[in-house]
Amino acid sequence: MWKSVNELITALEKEGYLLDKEKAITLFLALNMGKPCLIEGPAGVGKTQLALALARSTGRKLIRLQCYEGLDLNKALYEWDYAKQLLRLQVGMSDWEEVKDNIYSEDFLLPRPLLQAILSKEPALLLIDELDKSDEEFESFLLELLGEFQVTIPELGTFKAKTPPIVLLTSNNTRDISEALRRRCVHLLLTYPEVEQEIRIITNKCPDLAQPLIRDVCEFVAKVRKLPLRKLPSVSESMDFAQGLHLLRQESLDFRKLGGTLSVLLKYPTDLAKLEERIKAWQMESEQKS
Amino acid sequence: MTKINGWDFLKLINGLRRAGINISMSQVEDAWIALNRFPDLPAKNILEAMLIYRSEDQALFQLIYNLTVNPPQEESSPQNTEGAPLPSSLEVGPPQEGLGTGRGGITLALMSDDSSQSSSQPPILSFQMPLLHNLMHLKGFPSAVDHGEKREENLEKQVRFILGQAGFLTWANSVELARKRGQLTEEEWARFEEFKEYWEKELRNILWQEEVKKQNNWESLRQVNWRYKPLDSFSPQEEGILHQALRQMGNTLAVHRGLRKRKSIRGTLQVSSILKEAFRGNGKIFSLHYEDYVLKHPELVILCDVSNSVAPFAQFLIYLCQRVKSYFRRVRIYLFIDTIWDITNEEWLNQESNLEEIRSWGRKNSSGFSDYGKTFQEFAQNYLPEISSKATLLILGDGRSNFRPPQKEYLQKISSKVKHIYWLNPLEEKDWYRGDSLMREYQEFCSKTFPCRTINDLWQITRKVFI
Repeated sequence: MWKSVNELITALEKEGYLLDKEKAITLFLALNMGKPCLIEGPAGVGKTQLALALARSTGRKLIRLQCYEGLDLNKALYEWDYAKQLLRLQVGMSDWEEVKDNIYSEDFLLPRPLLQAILSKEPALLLIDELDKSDEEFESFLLELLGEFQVTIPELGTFKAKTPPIVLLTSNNTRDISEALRRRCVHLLLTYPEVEQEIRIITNKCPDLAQPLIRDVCEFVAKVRKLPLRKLPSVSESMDFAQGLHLLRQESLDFRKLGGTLSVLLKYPTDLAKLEERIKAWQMESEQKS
Repeated sequence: MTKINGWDFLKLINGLRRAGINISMSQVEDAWIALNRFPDLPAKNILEAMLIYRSEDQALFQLIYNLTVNPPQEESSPQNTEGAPLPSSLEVGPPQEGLGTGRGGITLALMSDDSSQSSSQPPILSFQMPLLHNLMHLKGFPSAVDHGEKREENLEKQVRFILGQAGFLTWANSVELARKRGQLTEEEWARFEEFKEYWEKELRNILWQEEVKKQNNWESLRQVNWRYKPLDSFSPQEEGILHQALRQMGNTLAVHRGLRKRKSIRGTLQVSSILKEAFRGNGKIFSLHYEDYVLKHPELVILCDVSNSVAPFAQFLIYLCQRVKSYFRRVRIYLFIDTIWDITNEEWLNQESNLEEIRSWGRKNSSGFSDYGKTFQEFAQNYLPEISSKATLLILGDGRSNFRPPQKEYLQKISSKVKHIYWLNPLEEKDWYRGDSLMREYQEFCSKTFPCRTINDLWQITRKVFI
């Protein structure tokens, strides 16, 4: 594990993820204190990407649990292999006590992501993605796992992680996460990057693009993010937008030549209409200036 | 790098807890271990990471941290302290002789790029804040809270006073005038608004710090905590937090399960069905069947008083109910003052900022004086027959009926028809039975009455009523 915050920033940078110092301090503390890290923020700011970059830089095995409405323990923790158990019963065995013990052994257990992370012999990074999509009951179950790094299976007992995994949870804030779970985690809020940070990210990811174009796009996107839109453009969308303009052989951003390209940036027709209207005002202002 | 000693650390924890942020013992322990293990990291960042688990609480943390660890110095100006740098994007001109009162180094400038330029040239935004602490001691400073005035209202008066004395308001008027004349670009206007918001926020922080010092009591900071702040005192910027909390609350309700189960493609194994299938012997050895809980779909009727005193609260309750509308079997929304309007199918309900519509609704359609007796009579006669006996009725109102007859027999009739009546009152509980309030008369027909002043109250109501 890294000995300083700067080491962590450098390691993530090598994996193509740029994190500012304040946020890196929070992540560094979570990692070094052995606490789960709850990453919150709007969609498209790089929450999942941070987990992936961290897994690559630590060399840990990534175990990912994608949450959804109705996710239950059978899909998240473990499930008994019913088909195998029924087959075992049909093979026949005279002593019921023996059969009973036999079919509830680890041979008939199907470990799902959470149990895999606990049982993993090699160090693992557990990513519980979009936790806000799951139900409250599932959250309550996670308390034991996040607090003690252990899970209890009634038929077999308690399993404790030999090497505690790094646990990252992400949430888009669509539902409130309970205070009990929040208190067990270190909270990291990721927001849209500042202009200079976004320029660095796009330059890093798309080295072919001209610098004036990247700067123009980032400044433009920063202005768009201040508008009252239903869905603000994410970093990946501004990257796609810059690449789109590059494909159209534009070296810098020209308001008059944006027709058709804005749909790469915004996904709702009402947002597009608002932006097009605003662009006309910006265009007039820039013409008056020049 | 700021260090923190044990005493300041305990003061900080105590302050945060008293201000309404829950901090567990294990968090305190972890924070202390982290401070000792990583002495090279800024204490503020460590404490924020280990103690604060909601982004909405960060501003309150900053305020309490500055009070306990970096207490403001009497003689220094706030813009020179570590916690209050000027927004970097703002161009601050050289100190100018300005329009202020001449105390505390006030400077003010609204100037063109070059003084020789014509007045049509866009001005440069330039303003330097004076020593704010000095302005608090000027004659006329509204330090006392007037009778019937809320603390927040008094605070806003104080902010306006200081900004006025600093010459900020005069400058802001000039900038607004320049904007109207088309001399300011949108970008410059945005910077001005950012600057204005920054200083208003800074001033509020300083005034709260003064308040805590004066009262020697952390509890007053609860009023800054978004959980305990009255819903009608949120600034337009803070309303974003409120809407997000309501959205989250709505989504929590949306995924809440009932007790009934039905067949599903995932969920728990339905053992009886599997066994039946196995015994049927139709060639299959076995096939797996699952069942899952069915989501709850209650029926909800909302009756909201929209007279001036209650309208701001009605907005948030209606917003919450709108968010979960699709998850209820049926939601009906009625507004009332001295008569009832069914607004269930109004288009504007779907917009996020519907406060103006709700406020103006009463002005457009009524005398503006609430009459609860007449409202219940009209509801019982005209709308009750359409409502099922399984419905829950939520009444949002202060119960103040302008000394008109209570006509409680109609509320009794309503309560005998619907499953529950919950009364949500936006007044503080001590004011429920004062003056022209009819709460005492109506309370006996309600399943429960709740205070509905803050987001925390709404949370409690959500848990007790819906779940």
